[in-house]
Amino acid sequence: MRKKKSIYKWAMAIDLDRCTGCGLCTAACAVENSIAPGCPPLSEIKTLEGNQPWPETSVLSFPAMCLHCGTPEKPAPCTLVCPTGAAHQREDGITGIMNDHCTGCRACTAACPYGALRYIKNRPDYRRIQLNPDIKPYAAGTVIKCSLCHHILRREKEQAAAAGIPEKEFTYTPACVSACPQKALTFGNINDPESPVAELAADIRAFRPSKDIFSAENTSVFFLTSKESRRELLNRGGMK
Amino acid sequence: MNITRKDFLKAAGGTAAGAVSGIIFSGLPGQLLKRLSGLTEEHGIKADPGLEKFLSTQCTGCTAQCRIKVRLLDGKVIHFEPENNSCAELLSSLNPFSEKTVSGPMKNAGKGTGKFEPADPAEVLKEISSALRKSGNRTVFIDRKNSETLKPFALAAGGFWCPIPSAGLEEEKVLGGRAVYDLKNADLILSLGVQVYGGWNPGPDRQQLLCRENFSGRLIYAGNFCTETAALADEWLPVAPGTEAILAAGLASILVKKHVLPAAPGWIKVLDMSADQLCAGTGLSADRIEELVRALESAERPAVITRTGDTACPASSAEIMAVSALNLMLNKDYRLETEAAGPGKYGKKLRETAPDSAAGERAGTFIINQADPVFMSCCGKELKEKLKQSFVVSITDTIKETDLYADIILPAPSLQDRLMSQAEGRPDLTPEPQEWLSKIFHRAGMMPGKKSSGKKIFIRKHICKAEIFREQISRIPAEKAGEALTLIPLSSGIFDFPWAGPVLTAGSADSGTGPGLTVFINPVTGEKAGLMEGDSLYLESKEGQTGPFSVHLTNRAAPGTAAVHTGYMPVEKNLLYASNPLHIMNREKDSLTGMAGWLPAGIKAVKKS
Repeated sequence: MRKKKSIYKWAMAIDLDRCTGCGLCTAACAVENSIAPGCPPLSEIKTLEGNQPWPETSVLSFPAMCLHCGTPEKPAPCTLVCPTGAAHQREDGITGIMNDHCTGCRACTAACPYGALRYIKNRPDYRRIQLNPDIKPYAAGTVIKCSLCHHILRREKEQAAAAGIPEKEFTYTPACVSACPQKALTFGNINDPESPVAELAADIRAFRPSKDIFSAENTSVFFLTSKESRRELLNRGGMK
Repeated sequence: MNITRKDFLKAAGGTAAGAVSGIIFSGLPGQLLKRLSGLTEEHGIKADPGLEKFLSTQCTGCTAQCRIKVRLLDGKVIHFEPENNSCAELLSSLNPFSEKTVSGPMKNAGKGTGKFEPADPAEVLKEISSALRKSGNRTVFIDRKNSETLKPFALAAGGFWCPIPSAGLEEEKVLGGRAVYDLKNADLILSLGVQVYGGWNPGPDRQQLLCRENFSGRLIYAGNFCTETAALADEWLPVAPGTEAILAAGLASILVKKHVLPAAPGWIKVLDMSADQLCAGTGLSADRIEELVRALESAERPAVITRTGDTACPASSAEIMAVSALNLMLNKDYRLETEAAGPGKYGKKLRETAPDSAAGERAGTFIINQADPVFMSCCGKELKEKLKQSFVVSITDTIKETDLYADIILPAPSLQDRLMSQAEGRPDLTPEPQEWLSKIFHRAGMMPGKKSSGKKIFIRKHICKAEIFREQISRIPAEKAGEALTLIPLSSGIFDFPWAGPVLTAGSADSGTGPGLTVFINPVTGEKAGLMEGDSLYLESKEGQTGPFSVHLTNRAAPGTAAVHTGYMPVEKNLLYASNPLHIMNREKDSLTGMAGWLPAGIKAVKKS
C-alpha cells in the first residue's frame, strides 16, 4: 500500500540580516534537548570573518545546525550511508537519527556536507542539568543532530488533536525559534503557501549555501540576507 | 560419489544449524528485537494527561518580564519552557541541580579557598548583627545590578550604598538624571560603542532595538573593533580607541559653528573644535565627518547613545556630557528622568560610592547582595585585599569570585526558586535578601528606612563641567610609540550559565565562548610582533599582567590594538584562566562617576614561554 504523502514540510528560515550571533538559540537548544556537559551541542554559533583589511572587513555569526537536506526522492547523504538505518528521512522534511539504533560508526558525520552531525565521545554528565522529560538522554558513542525539536511536534500534535484543531492548521515552534530575541528564525509548514516561512522561501533574499554536494535545493533550513557581503561569507566559509 | 539419504540429511541439517547459529551470533535477532521495541525515534516518557499541567507565568528576572511556560507533573515543576524573547539569564536559572547553588547559610573555612561549611542560621545572624553594630557607618552595602534592595539598610546604618554600574547609573551621577530615549521611533541612531546588536539581556532600552522589527531607522555605529553591530549597522565609523567623547563634542561643535543649532550656555567655550581637529582626534576622514554631520542635520528624530559600564569599560563623564549636549541640540524630545526635589526617596541623604572606590572606604563590614564586584571592577584586586581584611557577608544563590572572600554566605532565592514557588502556589522556601537583612537589623537594634513615593519628573538640562571635560579629553590615549598596543575591551554575553559546559566548549571565540580566552590582534600587528595564530600570550600594563590569552589574528581588530572580552564569566572559567582584562585597565577614577576603567595605551604583549 502506498504511504499517504504528508501535508507538512517543516522548514526554517535564518535571517542573517537580523541574527547577531548572540547564541541564545544554542542555549535554548541545549536546555530543550538535555544537552549535558560532555555532550556536543546540536547547534552552535559559527563566526565567519572577512579577509579584507581593517576597516573594510566584515563578520558573520550564525547558528550552524543541520539543514535537513534531502527529500524522500533525493535522500540526505547521512541517510544514504547509515548502515543501521538510524539516520532516516521523514515525509515532513525532518531528517532524524534514532539514537538507539546508532552504532557510532560515524559514516554520517563524514558524509554530511554541512558538518552538522556530532559524535558523543565521552559520557555526558546528566547529573548537572535539568532533564527534559520529553527527551531520552543521549548515550556516549552515538551521533546526534538537530531534529527540529520533533518531540515538541509530537507533543503539540497530540494536544492539537485533543483540542480538535484541524490537521491543516496545526503548527509548532522549535526551542531555538522561541528563544530568538531578534526574531531572526522563522519556522513553519512550507507546503502551506500562506505560512510566513513559505513567503520567506519565495523572498528575493532567500538562499542556500552553495557548498552543497547532494541536495542543496532541498534543504529545509535556508538563509535570508540582502547583504551580498554576508552571503559571500557564508558561501566562502561554509557551515563546516 | 554416492550420497545416501542419511548423508544428505546430515549435510542439510548441518547447513541449517550453521545458518541458524550464524544468524543468532550475528546479533541480527537482537537488532530486530531492538527495532521492534523502538518502533519510532520518539523516546518521550508519556505522562498521565491528568497529572500533567502547563502554566503560563512571567519572569521576574528583569524589567522585560518575559512570558514563560511552566510544565508541572502532579503539582511539581518539572520543566520551564521559554515562550518568547527568552534570555540567557532566565535559561541559566532553570537548573535546580547546579552544584554551585547555595541552599543554606555557610561559613568560610578559609578565605579565598572556596571551601565552605554549613552553619546554623541563628548563630550566623547573631554574628552578623554584632559585626554590623561594631562597624556602623563604616559598612559598605554592595547591591546587585539594577537593584535598590540594600538602599534602606545603608541609610539605616549610615553606611555607603554601592550599586553595581548599570545602564543609566553613570548618567545619573554626571547629569543628575537618566537619559530617556525613544529609540523605537528614532530615524537615526548614532551608537558610540553600544553593541546594539549583540550580547544577551541588554536591558529594556536596548530591547526596543534588539528586535529589528521594531526599528526601521538608520544605525551608525562608531567603534574600533568590527563587532556584529558594526557588521549589521548601516554604517560603521572605525574611530580611534576611546575617542567617542571627541567625536560627540566635535560633532556638536561643527553643528554650532554651522549655525545649525544654538549652543547651550556653558558649552560655547568648550565646543571649540574644528573639523580638522575632529579628524585628527578620531582618525576619521573629512568626508565621513561631513557626511555624518549632514545625516544628523537632516534626521528628524536622531538619538546619540553611549555605552555604560555594565560589561566593558564605562563611558567617561566627558563622553556622557558631550553626548547629552548633542542629544539636547538635535532632539527636542530628549529628556532626563529624575526625582522631584524634596526629602528624596528615603527621606534622608544617601552616602553613595562606586565599586571601584569601595576598596578605598574605611569599611569594617561588607554586605553584598548577589553581586560580583571583585570580578566586575577594574579595582577588583584592591577590593579583594580589602575583603580579606574585612568582615564580609554575601547573600547569593551561586558562588562567584567575590563570594570566595565572604566570611558568611546567606542563601538568596534563585530565579528558578521564585518561578517554582509562583507556579506551585506556595511561599518561597529561601528568604529574600531583605528578609535576612530585616532579621539582622532587628537583632542589631536598627530600623531600615522607609520608602517614600519619589515622584518622577522629566527635565531638559545642559550639564557642562568645562574643567572636568577638558581634563578628561586630554587623557584620551594618544599615539603610542614602538610596539605598544592599546587595549580594546569588548563586552561579552557570557553568564554564569549551567549549560556553559557544552556551550563554552564548542562556542565561538568571537562571542567569548571559546574554550579559552582570546585576544584579537590585527595580522599586520601580529606579524610585526612575531605572533602566530593560537600563540599564548599575556597582556601587561602599568597596572599589572593578565593572561594567558590565545592569539586570534583577524582583520576585525585595528592595527596597534589588542581586543579582549570582559564581562560575566562562570567562576570556574575565571579561576581556571585567572585572566581578567579589567584588572589591567587604568585605575584612576573618574571624578564624577567614581568609576575606573580608562583605556591603557601602551600595553605590552608578552609571549608565554
